[in-house]
Amino acid sequence: MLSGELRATAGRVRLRGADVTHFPPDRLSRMGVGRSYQTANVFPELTCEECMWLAAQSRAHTSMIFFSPAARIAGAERALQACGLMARRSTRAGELSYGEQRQLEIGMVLATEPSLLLLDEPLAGLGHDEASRIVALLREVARDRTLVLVEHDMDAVFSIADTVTVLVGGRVLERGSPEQIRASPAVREAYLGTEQP
Amino acid sequence: MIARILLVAGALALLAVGFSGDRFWLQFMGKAMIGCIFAMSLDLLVGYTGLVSLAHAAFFGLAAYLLAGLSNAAGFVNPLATLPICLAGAAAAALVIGWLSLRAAGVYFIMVTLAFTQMFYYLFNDAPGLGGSDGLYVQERPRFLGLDFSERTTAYFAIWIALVIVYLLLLRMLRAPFGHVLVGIRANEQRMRSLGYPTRRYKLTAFVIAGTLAGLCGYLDATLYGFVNPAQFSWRQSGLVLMTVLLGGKGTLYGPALGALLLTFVEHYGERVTEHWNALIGALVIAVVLFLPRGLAGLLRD
Repeated sequence: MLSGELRATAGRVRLRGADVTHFPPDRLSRMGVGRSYQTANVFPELTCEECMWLAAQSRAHTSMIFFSPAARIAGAERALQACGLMARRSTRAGELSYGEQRQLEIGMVLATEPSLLLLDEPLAGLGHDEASRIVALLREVARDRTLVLVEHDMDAVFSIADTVTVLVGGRVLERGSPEQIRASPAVREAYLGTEQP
Repeated sequence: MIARILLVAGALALLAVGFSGDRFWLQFMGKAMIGCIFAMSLDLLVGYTGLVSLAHAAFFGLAAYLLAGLSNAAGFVNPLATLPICLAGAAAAALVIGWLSLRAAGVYFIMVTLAFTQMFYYLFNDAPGLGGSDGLYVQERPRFLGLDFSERTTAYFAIWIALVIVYLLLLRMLRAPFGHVLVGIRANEQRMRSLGYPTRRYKLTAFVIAGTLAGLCGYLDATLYGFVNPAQFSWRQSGLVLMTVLLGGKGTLYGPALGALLLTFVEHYGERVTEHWNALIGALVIAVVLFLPRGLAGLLRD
């Protein structure tokens, strides 16, 4: 709903004060909302470089350019570098490991130079090493951008987030800094209760 | 590399046919080359954008009828006037049909485009003022600067030039940002939208470009034969060109052109062997789809 893919039946979504409730995804993206998906959602038949090119080209005023060949874009190169896929630039996205696809996924969002990133479970289905690489990348990204992250991996959440909102059954249970959440009895009870001594 | 050499050799061979002066071959190969342009223009949609359209015959037929109408009713013979008008007519129809059809996706898009083709077919088939099922003659074919396009050799060279220009134009377009965006849409449209591309606008643009080129084919066909008929609107034509694209190898541009040449020959020689030559084409398509999923172009690439 925040990224415009689902229609809101009630309520309002505001972005920097503007009502964007019924804006389509492409318009939100051009307003600086970047979104990544829960499962790697890349262009399997294109190379990493081409995927990144498409992401960066989306910031051009128009891509209705018919007669001059597509040129390399600095933003695409930077994003490839940032997500650590420089060495894999000519590999097809579909042939990457799942972890690399997630890196590419986040790199593509970065190439659109968003001011707000919506990340849906960026660590889902990743091994430990891959997850820590993504966490490092996200920490880097979060330094000068707003990140909204949905994640089950608590270690990752505590190491990236400034503010944590805990949901139980679709309702907000608690909201606060990682320390507050860690100390919250309600959260403990809901999520950690049976496991913690 | 091999493909490129074959391509240049093929273009030169087609050019050489133009100097033969043989009336049969000029018309036969002229028709085949129109089929090449027709299939390449559909490949822009099917192979690159991922849109399977059955409206392609509508734009072909519309431009052909427009030429007949301009010639018969208004006496327009200068192609500098008739060509832009016919192309604009096809483009306008593509804009309207595309704008409406692209609201649907997948199989619904296919059905909506089919419905439009059928509408045009019955309109031109049943309206007596438009020649009805017999069609119309183009009384005065295009001519200017001493070039008379009712001459088969002249028409043939015009078609050859159109084929080369359209091929180079499409190639250029596909290497430009626009072409890359189309491929992105085919690969993952949802992701393209979340990256900020208004994808429907790009699909509509591709649809109009392809429709305009289909109109060019109709114009050339009416010029070559001096005759238009409602069968040009039939969904069979739309289906046949779609088959040509698959046979040749979608998403390659030269593949569908190759497919068009092959189909013209199969149709011609098949007709001599058996009146059920359609079955031959059917068998050919099944064989290609099963054993050469990337079409004839796949053979060249390996």
